[in-house]
Amino acid sequence: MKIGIQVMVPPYTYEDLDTAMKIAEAALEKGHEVTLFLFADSVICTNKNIKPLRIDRNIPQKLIEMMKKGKFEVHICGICMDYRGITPDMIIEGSKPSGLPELANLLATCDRFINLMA
Amino acid sequence: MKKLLFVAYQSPVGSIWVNEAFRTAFGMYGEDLEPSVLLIEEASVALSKNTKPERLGLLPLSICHKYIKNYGTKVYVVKQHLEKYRVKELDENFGAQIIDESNLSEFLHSFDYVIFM
Repeated sequence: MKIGIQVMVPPYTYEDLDTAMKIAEAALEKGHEVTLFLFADSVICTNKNIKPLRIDRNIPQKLIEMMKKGKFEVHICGICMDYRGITPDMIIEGSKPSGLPELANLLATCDRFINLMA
Repeated sequence: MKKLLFVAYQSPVGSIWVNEAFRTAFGMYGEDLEPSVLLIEEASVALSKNTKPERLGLLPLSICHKYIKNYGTKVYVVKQHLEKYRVKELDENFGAQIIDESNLSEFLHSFDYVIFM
């Protein structure tokens, strides 16, 4: 099954991104394919310069590890990146600057779509 | 064809979500998708003729009008929410259809995906 997950809120203010990653991990374990679409302030989580406290989770690093395992893609809204001053050289390896055409394609082709909005 | 409904519920002055709901809806037309926009609760205020975020130097709502017309995007609002927020004169550029709150459940179920923004 192809699953799309969209997140729209900041990663270290709300915990929707954590929810998205946990759903994705569970789905990947069952053999499903997951695309995470980052929209609005959620795009901040792809900034590879993020340095959380040692005791806290490192979301960019976690996303890298998940992408390395396969069947998991991270798409980032390009306009949302530009708005927030995130340039392609700042984003984590494997994530893809993308946009609404890609979101439309995801919505048209996925079997399930989950939207997380705080 | 999948039917999508983008629902905004936050005020159009103070949050980006009404504009983003429309922007996202307009981005769907390249695929076999039929997007619509529903404004509920405080977002209903966006439909008022008197709501002008640009007066505060914010992103105008009027940038949506041209695309609503070009694409024929359906816009919906809930009658009771218009009353709650005292929206009296609707900006006709949105071409909004007013639905009754009692029909909301059936209305939401008529879409394949309902995406709250």
